[in-house]
Amino acid sequence: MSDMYRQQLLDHARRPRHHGVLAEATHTRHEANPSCGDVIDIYLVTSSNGLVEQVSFTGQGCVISQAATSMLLESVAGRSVAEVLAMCPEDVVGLLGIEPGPMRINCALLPLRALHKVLSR
Amino acid sequence: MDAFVDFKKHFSALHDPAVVYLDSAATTQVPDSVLAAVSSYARGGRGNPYRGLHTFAAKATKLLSSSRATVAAFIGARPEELLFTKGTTEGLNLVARALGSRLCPGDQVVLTIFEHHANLLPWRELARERGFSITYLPMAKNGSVDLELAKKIIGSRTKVVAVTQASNVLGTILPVYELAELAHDVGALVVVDAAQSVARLPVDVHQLGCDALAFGAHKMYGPEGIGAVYISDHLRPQLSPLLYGGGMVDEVLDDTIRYAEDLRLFEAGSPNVAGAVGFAAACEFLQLLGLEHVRQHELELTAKLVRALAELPRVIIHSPAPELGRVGVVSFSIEGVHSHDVAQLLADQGVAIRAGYHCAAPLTRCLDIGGTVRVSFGVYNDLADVDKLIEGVKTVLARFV
Repeated sequence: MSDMYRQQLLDHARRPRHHGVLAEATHTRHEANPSCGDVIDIYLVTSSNGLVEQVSFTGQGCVISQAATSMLLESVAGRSVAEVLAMCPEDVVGLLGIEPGPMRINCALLPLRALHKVLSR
Repeated sequence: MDAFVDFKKHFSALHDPAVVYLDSAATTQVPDSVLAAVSSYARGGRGNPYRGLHTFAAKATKLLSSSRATVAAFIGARPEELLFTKGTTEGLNLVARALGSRLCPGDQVVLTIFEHHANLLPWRELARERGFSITYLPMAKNGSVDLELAKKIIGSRTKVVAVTQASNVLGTILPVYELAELAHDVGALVVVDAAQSVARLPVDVHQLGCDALAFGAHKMYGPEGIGAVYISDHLRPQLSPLLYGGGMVDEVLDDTIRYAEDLRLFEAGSPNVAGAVGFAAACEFLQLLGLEHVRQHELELTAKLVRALAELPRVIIHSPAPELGRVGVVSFSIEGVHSHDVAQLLADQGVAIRAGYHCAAPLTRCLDIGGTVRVSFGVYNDLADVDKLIEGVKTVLARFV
């Protein structure tokens, strides 16, 4: 049986961290993955010295997309915008601890895509 | 079911008993007879039809023409009514482009909520360009469209009724015959998306009375990259080519171009002969089986599947149509589990199904189901495949619920 659904992933998908809307967000981004129909909205507060101070998200979708968003946001909280922009797909795969394979990689990378788009503006 | 006992032996891809392929609405597997026809053409020497006088070119020309006749006959059409395309999508785009670009504000195109994006986006884009309106026939309580409502919607403003014959999500068979009649009563043209129906139901374009009908080979046991569209005599003069290039002209002079007056006008570029040969072989394969047997087989599998799914907790079946009102395509969801997670766990057990929105967003949105798990049968499936799927779903339930 696939280890794609290892306990930590299921836990993040069921009890996502930083879930909800940040009314005071400085950056928001809606991102969708048409094949799975995953959607996420991420909310960030960045500081004047270039730190990601607060993070949150809302969304719906498969375990991989929602767990990846929860885990990635947890890991970027408190880091610098530059560091987040330098993150690559391998970093997300490392966080998830699974190899999503060609069909699920878009689910896994949805939050990274959202972060990169919103922070590179 | 007799005709289909041990039927997997005709499909090399399905020889491994661990493979349970239930995604034929996406693409079917190819029988060895079709593969043999395609390879025998190439082994015997390829040629470019209509171009060249050597043996290979002559043979390719002949094969293209006989393949066209076979595929045309499969849907009750004459060869001069059938265009080869690269698939259903191209056929629908060609027709939509021809018809839609003549429409004006005030005109109406009627679609159904069941349409695949291939029969939706071309019209949506043209509506934006030309300013005509699109009306969707909604899903009625019986899971199909309400003909009384259709009678009210299809009126003097209606110029085109474009409708799928069978839903790729729910399997619902739509009343295309009745809709065609309503359309013709008001002088509208009828376009049919037969991608899902043509390998599952007998289709006769003249009986149907449609003006265009598009389908693709890869969903009917044929090769990828080739399809066909039937174009009625009435519609043909209104079409303009999507592509310009070799093989579509009679004469090119410095100041004038005389285009071919037959179907070659719409098939610019070197034809896909291997595809056409395989397409024809696929039609022959289905004819040999008999579509009435295919249908019987599918009904038996579908009935067993629906019965078994209905017994499982948290499983919601989304195909509200009665048994006889649908083809061998069934969608369901498991409460609290995303369809792609179901698909993944089933894939891990060797069971291939499709999950998600199935390129039919208006329908999945109207049902508010956020993606479905879709099982679709082919001639090679048997009752044991249904058992394996149900076992797989039970594993998903145990894991997630």
